Amino acid sequence: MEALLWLAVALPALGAAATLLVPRPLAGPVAVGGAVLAALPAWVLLAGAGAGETARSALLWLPGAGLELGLRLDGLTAAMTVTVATVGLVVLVYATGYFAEHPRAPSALAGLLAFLAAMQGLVLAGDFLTLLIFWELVGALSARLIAFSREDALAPAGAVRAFLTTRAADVGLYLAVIALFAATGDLAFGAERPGGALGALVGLGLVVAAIGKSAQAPLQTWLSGAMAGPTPVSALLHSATMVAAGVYLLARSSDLLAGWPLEVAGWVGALTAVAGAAIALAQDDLKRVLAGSTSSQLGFMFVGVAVGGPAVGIFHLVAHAAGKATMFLAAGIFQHARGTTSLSELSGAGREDRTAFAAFVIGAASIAAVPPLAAFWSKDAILLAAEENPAWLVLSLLAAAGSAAYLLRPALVLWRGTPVGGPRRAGRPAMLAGAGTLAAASLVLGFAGAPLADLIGGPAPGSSPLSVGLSLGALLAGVVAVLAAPSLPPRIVALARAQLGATAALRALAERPLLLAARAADALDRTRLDAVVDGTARGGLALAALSDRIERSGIDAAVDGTARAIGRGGDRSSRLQSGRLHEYLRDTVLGAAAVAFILVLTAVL
Amino acid sequence: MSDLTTALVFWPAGVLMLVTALYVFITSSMARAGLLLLAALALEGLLFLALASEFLGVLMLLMMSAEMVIMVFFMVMFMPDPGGLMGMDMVHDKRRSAGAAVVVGLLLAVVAVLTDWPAQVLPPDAPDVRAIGFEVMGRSMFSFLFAGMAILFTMVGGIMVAKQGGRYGVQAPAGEVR
Amino acid sequence: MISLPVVLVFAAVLFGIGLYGVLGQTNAVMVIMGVELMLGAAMLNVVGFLRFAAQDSTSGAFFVLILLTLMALEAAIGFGLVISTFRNRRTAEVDDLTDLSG
Repeated sequence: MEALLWLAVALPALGAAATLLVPRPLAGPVAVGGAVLAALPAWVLLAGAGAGETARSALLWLPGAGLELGLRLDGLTAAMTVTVATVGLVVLVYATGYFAEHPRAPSALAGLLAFLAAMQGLVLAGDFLTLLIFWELVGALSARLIAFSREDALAPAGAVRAFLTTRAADVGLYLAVIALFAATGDLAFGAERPGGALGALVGLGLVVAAIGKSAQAPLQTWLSGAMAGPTPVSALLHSATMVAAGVYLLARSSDLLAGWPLEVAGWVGALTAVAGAAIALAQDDLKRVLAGSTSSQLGFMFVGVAVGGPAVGIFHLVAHAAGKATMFLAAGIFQHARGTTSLSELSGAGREDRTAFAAFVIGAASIAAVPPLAAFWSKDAILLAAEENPAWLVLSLLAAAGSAAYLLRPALVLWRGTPVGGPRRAGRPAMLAGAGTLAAASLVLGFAGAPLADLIGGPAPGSSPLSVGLSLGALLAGVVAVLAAPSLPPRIVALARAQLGATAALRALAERPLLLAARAADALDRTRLDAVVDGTARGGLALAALSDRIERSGIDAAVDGTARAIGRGGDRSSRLQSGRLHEYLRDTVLGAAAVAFILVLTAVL
Repeated sequence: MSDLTTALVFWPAGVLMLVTALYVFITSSMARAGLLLLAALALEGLLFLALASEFLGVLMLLMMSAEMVIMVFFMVMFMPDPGGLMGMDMVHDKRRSAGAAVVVGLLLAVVAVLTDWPAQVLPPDAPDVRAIGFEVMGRSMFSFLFAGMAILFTMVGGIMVAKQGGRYGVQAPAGEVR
Repeated sequence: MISLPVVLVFAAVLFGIGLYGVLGQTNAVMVIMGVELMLGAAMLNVVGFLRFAAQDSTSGAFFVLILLTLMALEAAIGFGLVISTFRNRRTAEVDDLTDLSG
């Protein structure tokens, strides 16, 4: 069992390497083969967990600090790993079709496989440290994947924004881990939240990290920008796996987050559910509608974990993964047909490719909570659990109505309009296969609720007549709204398109102050610190010049002066030797007289 | 000599001696200078006689007369203005040399006056010439001998120094026989 | 009264005059004359001492003899040098003989 844990993480990585190394024609099959192989351990682990097995496998990393890296098998990780592996396999099959005519196809496939490895590591992590490491890996790899289509000018920018936003939120996770370690010295799951300031830091940090990763308000803007990446990436990362990591984090640490942190998460989720729906309604680009929808649905999941426990949230996660990924894969088929994802240019594309459109409709119906499709049951479970919290219930119903509306709108656009009818592209079979598989999954996953609850623990997601009634009512309301009022007022559209002001707020609150601080620091460095260094250098030079001057004017002058004085003395004394006899005689006489006088006087006196 | 005679001779002779000596250097005529020197030294000889050294006085007079005449010869030969008719001032550094002279003279005079000489006033019984002769030929023979040799050397040396061409004589130009 | 100091003073003055001549005169012959006077002053000194302090000293008289000889010798050599100088340089002025300057 332990070996399977490591295999689940290692096989996708090996598959990525293999995809890059084999010759180009083999890259697709090798990638798919790798994904199939990588899915096998996941299913075996699920079987094992279902039979009640748990396992742990750890490597001692820093024995002195008691830190270790490890993977673990329990109900939650088993559910997540199967989701990741299966959706990953389907998307990979789809990607071989999507990238069929792309010059850098092997690189894309390898990137997807590498991402799968990191995601598996995240969901299989056995303690917070391992979770943190894979969390960061997932973020880094996702940015690379988004920036893959670098021919599109928006893609690198979107990748940078995604990376920066999620990374900034990840600081919360860092702080939480550090605080937890500082408080208890133990980073295992399932502990109780420590008290005091450190405990508050733990709770807050985890919630912030989840908000960032799951594109909840006010950090939801990066998801729209990430849509500039290739569609398979959007399908895998931004509907099923990476963004779901935030929900997984909440589910994993629900013991740590008991109390006010879960309340906060619930409120954020509820508000985002509504905000995301509003944004999705106003978008003009199909993928951006789906992005807003993802934010909204993730908000639902937050509410689910907050009120109903981990099983409720994960149920919706799995259902949403199937439905949303289907829609993204279908959108990718339309994208290849029309060369764009802009709704105004996609009208009638559904009529052209009815198979793809059928998949799209199935996925949309699931997300819009049309019974008996999967997401109906999971959303219903959330509404049931939210009945305890009226405010959240109202917000959820609003969001449910919104989800119906914003999904019906693109569907109508795709159906109405005249088909253009172009040639069928290569790779379409693979793409259809992928979309079809997930559509089928959306049909049947509604029955996964109870088994999931058994697996993960916690109350089973159920339904009540009230919740079903409210849910259907919301669905009807949304449908009627779209059919009756075809367009929204322009001001609201503009506001929604501006992400309800979140972008501007972030720019004012975060970007500008940081840039100002950076510029100030640079100015400080240039004027003060550099000045100190320059000043020291100049001081040194001045000191050198001064000592040179001292030496030259003082010491040298003294030496030269002495030499000159001696020379002058020599000159003057040479004048005594005038050659004139009389002067010699005179000097002799005077000298002798003086000596004699002294002698005599001393003798006399 | 009696005291009076001694005094009568000593004082005038002494003063005159000093005056003539001074005039040796004041006068501008060379002949006169030489003769004045003769006079000064002759008067000095007279002083010797007055001081009861007859031998020395006579010796002085004899020698000086011949020597000074020869000196006059030399003066006329080598002086630019022997007659003193052109009025050249042949002194340089007059003040300084005068000053030095005065200083030295004063010094010596002061020493002479201030010293406590032994008061031995013996009767003027000078040793007679005979005793001096015995001294010269006896005890001081060695010195006398040397003095004689010195005179010889000086004679030869003087001629050598003064001779044209020095020691080696004038080199005859080639071909010419001297 | 004639006494030793008197004689010595006379001698001193004569010495000074001779010194004036030695130091002041430009012509070599005049310088030699000055030297004669100085030697004469020395002789006067000795004679004074002979008369007043050491009357029975024959060696004193001999000393004067030697001084006298010295006077003559010095004059002889001096004049020889003057002749030689005059022969080579056409001048007997001491001021022109400055070859040893420097």
